[in-house]
Amino acid sequence: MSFALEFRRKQQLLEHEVQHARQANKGFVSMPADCGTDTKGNRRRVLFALVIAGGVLAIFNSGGLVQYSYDFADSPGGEKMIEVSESWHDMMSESRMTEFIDHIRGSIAMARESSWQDLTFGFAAVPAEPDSSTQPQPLIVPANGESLPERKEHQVPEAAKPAGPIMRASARPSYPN
Amino acid sequence: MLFPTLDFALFFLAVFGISWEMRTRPEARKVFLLAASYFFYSYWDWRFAALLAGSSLINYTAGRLIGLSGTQRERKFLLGIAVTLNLAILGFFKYYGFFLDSLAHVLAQAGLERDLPFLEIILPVGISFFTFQGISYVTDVYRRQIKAVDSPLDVFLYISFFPQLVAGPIVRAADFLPQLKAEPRLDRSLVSLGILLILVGLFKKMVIANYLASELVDQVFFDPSAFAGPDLALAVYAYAVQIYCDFSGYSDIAIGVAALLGYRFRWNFNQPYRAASLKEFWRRWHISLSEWLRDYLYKPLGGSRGGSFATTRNLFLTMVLGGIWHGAAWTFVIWGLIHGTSLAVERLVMSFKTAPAPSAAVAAGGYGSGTIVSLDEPEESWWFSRTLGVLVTFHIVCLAWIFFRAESLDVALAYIKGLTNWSAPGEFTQPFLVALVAASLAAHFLPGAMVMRAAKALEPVGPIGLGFLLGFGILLIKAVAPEGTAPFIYFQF
Repeated sequence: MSFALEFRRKQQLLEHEVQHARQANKGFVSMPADCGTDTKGNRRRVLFALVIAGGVLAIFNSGGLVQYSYDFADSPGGEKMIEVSESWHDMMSESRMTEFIDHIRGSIAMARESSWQDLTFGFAAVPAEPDSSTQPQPLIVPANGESLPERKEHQVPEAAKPAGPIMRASARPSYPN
Repeated sequence: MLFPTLDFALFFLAVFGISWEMRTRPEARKVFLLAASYFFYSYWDWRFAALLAGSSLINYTAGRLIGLSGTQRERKFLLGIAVTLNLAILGFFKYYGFFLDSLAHVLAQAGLERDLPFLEIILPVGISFFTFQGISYVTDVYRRQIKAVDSPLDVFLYISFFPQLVAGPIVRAADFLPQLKAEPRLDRSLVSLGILLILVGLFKKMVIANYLASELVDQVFFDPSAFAGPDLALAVYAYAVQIYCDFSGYSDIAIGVAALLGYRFRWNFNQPYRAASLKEFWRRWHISLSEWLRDYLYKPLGGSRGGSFATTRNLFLTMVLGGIWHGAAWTFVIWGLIHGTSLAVERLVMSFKTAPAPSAAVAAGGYGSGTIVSLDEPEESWWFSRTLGVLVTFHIVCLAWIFFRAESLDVALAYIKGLTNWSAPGEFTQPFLVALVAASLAAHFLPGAMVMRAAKALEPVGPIGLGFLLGFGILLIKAVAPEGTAPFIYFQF
């Protein structure tokens, strides 16, 4: 029996088992509903996990806290909230905690800007025999983007640009948050 | 209150902590969850909460009266009143403006112009979903599939429970009401799957759906005539991915949030674009709505009891009505027509297929497949028919999505016309967007049990590990996602 046929058979059996487990439990739980239940312990476990997650976000995404605090600018205590969140953010920035998120954003921004030319360029940059007259461009582009090869500007036709804000999931009416 | 916001995170943290603290007092816990659900819903507009309460009251009363009445005729009459009231509420909010517009147009054509009572009606978020749940409750009571519930609290909570309130999944009373009666429990499998589904849902919505919407789909669908074939093709594939990630992302978060509160919801999506037939697609796409349409529309129309013609007609009508439900626009009608016609044609084609030997017949691609193949079938033939089925099904679905997404019929037709023009290179066919679309589609062909396996692997992880997973998971999503939080597409329905 070929690998593909064997894989297919295993896949079907697995999906069949999963389906059976789902039906048996009226949901997605693959074990009996009353097995291994320690509600009190699990509640504590989740609460602790949520608090840690909140801490991770407060440390590494302190800029998000500042943005959130701006929503309360007009409310009583709003000024104080903004002040506290800004000083927290400054503290995190000074200790370079926010660099992690900035670094990821930078990489994503580069990926978004890359063109097919950039990709093919990457492959072509490793010649079989190095030639001093045709210096290969670096494969790893510095984060500051200084040696990014020039690419054709991405132009959206004027007529195609929506009049309203672009950030929406649908052009149909949205609801106030 | 949108799921991917800090507001919701704080709200959920409070609800989680307090509700589990009240687990030894189930009635008080239900009151608290009901209050939390109404707070969640009122966050959009407090007036919507009054409508939700009114709808719940109608269905609770109707259920009680149907349960108490002795004769079948009386029961039927009460069911008729309840369903009519539910549909009247839904129809008023969804179609009032369209109806008056059309009436004004007809009167103007006939030279009988009148001042019509136009109102500025805001469509309450998720009205369809809680109306459908109400109808399903009274119908199930009428069919004696469930008993009428004595406690109004249970019915009110069933209809308004916040994780599924605004965009589904449409939870069945038979699934949810028994869970309200049982003692709430939180086991490790619920915790790990809940956290994992929340992360997966956030990634689908905030990263994939939002990128595709803001960087490609919205711009191309705004004026398709300004773009050439490559962009239009990529944008329709992107919209297929966007709507899937948007909607299934919401469902994943809803199921995950409910799991952390101790309630189990059924899956709402199951890798729909790997379907090899339209029939299979509808068993994988928005499963709770497909089942609702089957049980409360297709079957009352006669289902498959009246021969081939009647079955085909009922399928067709169900899909067209499903299209009209999405909105009063020709684009939605055509979306329903495409699905209805394709299902009818597919049924016809399938009826000519020879049934395989029972010992070897296996539904391809797991349960619910419309493509019946045999394991004894030559391998090349199996792959070929499966691949062809997947490709054809996906492109029919994409064709229908064009009408679903387009602002008007003219825009949709311009879009289809533009798809034939491949003379110019694409503006948007850049590696990032192409990779995003391709990877999202390829993920449909990963093993279906992957999420469950991952959740199983997470079960022994302690609170610190879970906390770091959740914290860094959300951090990565926030870092990668575009700025802003767009509303979920299905809120408008």
